[in-house]
Amino acid sequence: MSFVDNLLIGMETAFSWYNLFYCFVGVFMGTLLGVIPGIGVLAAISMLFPMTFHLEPTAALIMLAGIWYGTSYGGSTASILLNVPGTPSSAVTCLDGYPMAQQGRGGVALLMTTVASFFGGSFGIILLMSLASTISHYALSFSSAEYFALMLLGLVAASNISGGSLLKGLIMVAFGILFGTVGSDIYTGTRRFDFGVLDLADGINLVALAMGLFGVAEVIASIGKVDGGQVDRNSLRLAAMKPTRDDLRRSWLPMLRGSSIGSFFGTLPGTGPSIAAFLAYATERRIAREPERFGKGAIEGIVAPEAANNAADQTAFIPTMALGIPGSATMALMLGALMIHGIAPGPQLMTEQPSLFWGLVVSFWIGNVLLVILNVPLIGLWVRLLMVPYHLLFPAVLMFVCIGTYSVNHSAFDVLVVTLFGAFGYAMRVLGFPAAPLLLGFVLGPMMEEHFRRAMLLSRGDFMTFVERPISATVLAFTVLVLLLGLRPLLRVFRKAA
Amino acid sequence: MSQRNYQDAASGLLIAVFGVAVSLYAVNQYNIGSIQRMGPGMFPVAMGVGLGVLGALLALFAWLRPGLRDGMSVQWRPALLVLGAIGFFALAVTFSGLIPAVLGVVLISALADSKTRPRQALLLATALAVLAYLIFQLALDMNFDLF
Repeated sequence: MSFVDNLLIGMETAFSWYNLFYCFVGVFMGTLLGVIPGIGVLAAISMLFPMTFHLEPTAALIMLAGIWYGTSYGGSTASILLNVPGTPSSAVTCLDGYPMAQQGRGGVALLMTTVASFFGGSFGIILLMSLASTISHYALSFSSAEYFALMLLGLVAASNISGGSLLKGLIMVAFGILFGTVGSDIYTGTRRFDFGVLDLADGINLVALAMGLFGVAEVIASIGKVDGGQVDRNSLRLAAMKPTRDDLRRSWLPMLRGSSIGSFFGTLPGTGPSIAAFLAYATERRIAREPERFGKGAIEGIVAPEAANNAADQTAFIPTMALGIPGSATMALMLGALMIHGIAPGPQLMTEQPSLFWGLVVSFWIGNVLLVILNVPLIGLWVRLLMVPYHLLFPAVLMFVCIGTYSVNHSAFDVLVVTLFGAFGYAMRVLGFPAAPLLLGFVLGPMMEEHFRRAMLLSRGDFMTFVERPISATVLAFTVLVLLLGLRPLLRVFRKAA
Repeated sequence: MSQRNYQDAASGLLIAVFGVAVSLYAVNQYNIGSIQRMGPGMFPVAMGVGLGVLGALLALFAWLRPGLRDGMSVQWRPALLVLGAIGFFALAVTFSGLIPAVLGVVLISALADSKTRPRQALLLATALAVLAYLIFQLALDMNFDLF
């Protein structure tokens, strides 16, 4: 099928009223939860996850994706106006966005981040459209050995880069895989780690785990630390948003560079929008003619990272959709949604379900346009939300967490699982362990086990199968490289101690 | 003077012990199989061993690493009240119904932040209970027991 045919299928799907509505709901909720500090993307998605069970799979994915890139738009609002990042990926935007707001240029900053976000998002979507089908075409010849190698790379990269020490990341991955083994074994049907509890026969509920780990742990950590703030209302009038000629001239190239950096890091496993935004900022600062302007309200310092994180949001779908291998915890949740609807992720997805993939891609465009509309004229609404005190907000959030989890299976047991993972997640957070690798391990673990066991069965127990196949060998070489890079700081400690 | 990172050392040791326990449990309970034909026990044992090794390494490096990490601050009150509130919801929704469960989760969790006034909490709980009824019972038709 040609590109145009695919695009037509996508448009037909995405422009149906049903899907348009859920695209709108997704980006609206994404912006809403992105604006509120103390609720990150993962918490937002896991909270709204149960809602998608009642939808058609395409609409479910469109909505979840809308939440995902919607939070990136919303997150920058809190960064600029309050100096508190609404989401981690917009943390860098504080550096120059807040000084701009203090100088009375908050309106310009808000408008330009929206423009940059749209630019970056569109850039990423074009790449996604042109690369995904090519990659999935090659991936059709992958066997279990390649899949196992790719998943291993994803997990190692995620534990290495998502901040903090490699060891802690790997530990969380191992926890995730272990939690993923709970329930019936796919080959023999043996119930593992169910301790006679019937509710565990199908494994730990993904929604409950994500809600506890991200929603609840995040709420606990934010109580007493986040609060509604004072906002200068003057900067929010449309007239105050008009950028000067100088602003526009300075923004062009940073947006382009930011989009390229973001697109690249979005596709890599384990990196994602936060790192992309930081690198885009660092790059701008390094190549700037007057680096001393940065941190004092330089417009380049907000447009480059915002373009980068939105581009990364979109290109993150390339490995997820083309290979069925999520590069980040959020993408793992997207795959989880697909699997709950009985759709097997993988390279055959795009040929078997063209309306799902292309509908999703076209919905990204629609969603990005909707976000521009939501963010420019409606900015006042979001700002009013910023001023709702957190101590009145979080009980409501918890209520939605509880009812949301309960409603999936009408299971009070799942709500108890939320409590358990809330406690676990908060404890790990206090001790400095990153939570995202756990979720990635939890979703990838069962797939990895399946592929590993199949690869061993096919090779008659010969480990050489991973090295003899060229693609698998290359991927494993990369994995080792990433591991070594991560080990460097540890070795330094050793040398110092010796 | 070099200070030891006791938090990491302790958590590393705990994780290592947990890993060993998991492996032992899996070895006893499930069939391990061979490399070629792996049984259900192979992966759990491998992960248990992995956690054991990684935890031990973490503890070892923490013991050798100079410099103390920023002090650990646990927010006990929010943590216990929030978790308690969710636990209450689970019980209340089973033995009673949606409305008491919502009132409970909101009122208990509202105590987690000392800024909340009792009257605010009551108002919030009532408003959210009505909202929950409207959204989940009327709009989404989820068929909860109400009381």
